[in-house]
Amino acid sequence: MPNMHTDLPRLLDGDKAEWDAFVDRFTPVIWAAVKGSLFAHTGAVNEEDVRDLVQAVFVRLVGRDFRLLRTYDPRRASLVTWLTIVARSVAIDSLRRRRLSTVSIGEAALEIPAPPPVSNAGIELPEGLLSPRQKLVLHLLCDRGMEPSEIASILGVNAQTVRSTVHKAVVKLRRQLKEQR
Amino acid sequence: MNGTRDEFREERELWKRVRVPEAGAPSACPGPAELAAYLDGACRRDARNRIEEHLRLCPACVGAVAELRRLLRAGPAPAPAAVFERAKGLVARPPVHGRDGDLFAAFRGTLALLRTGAAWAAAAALVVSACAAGFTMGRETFPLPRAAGSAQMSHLNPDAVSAEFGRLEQPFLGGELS
Repeated sequence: MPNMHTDLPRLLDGDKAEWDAFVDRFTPVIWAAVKGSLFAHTGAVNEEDVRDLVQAVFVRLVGRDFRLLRTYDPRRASLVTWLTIVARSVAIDSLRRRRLSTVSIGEAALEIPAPPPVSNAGIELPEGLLSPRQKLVLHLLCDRGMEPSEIASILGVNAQTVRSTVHKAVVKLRRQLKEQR
Repeated sequence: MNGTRDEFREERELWKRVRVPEAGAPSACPGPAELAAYLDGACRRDARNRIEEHLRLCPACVGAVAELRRLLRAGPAPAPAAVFERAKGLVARPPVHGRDGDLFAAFRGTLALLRTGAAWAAAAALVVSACAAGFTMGRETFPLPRAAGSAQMSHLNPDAVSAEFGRLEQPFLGGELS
């Protein structure tokens, strides 16, 4: 298992040994992210495309004196997560430009139902009654018909936490509707 | 009828009876730094709230977050050796500086090469051809090492590549890339 510590200042200074170590550590991360993204959006993977896109990610990282890599802040997130986001974006961008996908990228690829039309009906919720998370969970559950496990996956929590969030939100809603009768 | 509908029928009915007031246009899609912090559970509460308000209004970002969570759970995958080498080639080796500058550095580099037994024949051929070319062209013909301290691409034009992928630094999760 390669050492996952990256000496960013040396890397950004163009240190060859540090760059080679960075490539050794993170090529598998970038490879998996590109491959997974292509598969998610096209249902198929061409290894040559993956190779080219992985290289495109690295080119993007070193271009203009490591301009993109300099935007990474190790205090905010892990390099694995950040690189996964970058790699997915390169893959998606390539698909958009090459028009390889025959379906719209994003929502349709994950079969998330479209949101219902915006309606002005209903009792307006006071601001701050529900937290953004509670509103998001209820929206995904009730408007999108998603399962608690799917919602949990999006939020990075477990399904029981989603159920608990729903329960607490509903308690507030019931109380609010009762007060407004 | 699936379990979700049975389990949450009352919740759906309640949710239909209310309306969430929207404060203006949806916020911009989060950028990579903000999103990475969110995915790692490392962002502050206000940032998390902002992102989750955005997710409620942006189906594309919901899809992106779901997909990124899946990619992160799946983890890294083995890649062919050639992929590693191709990427490493993007940053050149630093020069070995000597008294006579690049010519001395090239000579030392050649000596290092000659220490490897397998390189003798190739090095000899190189010296012969280099000398012949140098005699013909009248100039230095050893390949010169690149300067340290700057990332130079061995075979790509950095500006051309950057122009092609320039849009990557803008928000790129949900909306159309500009």
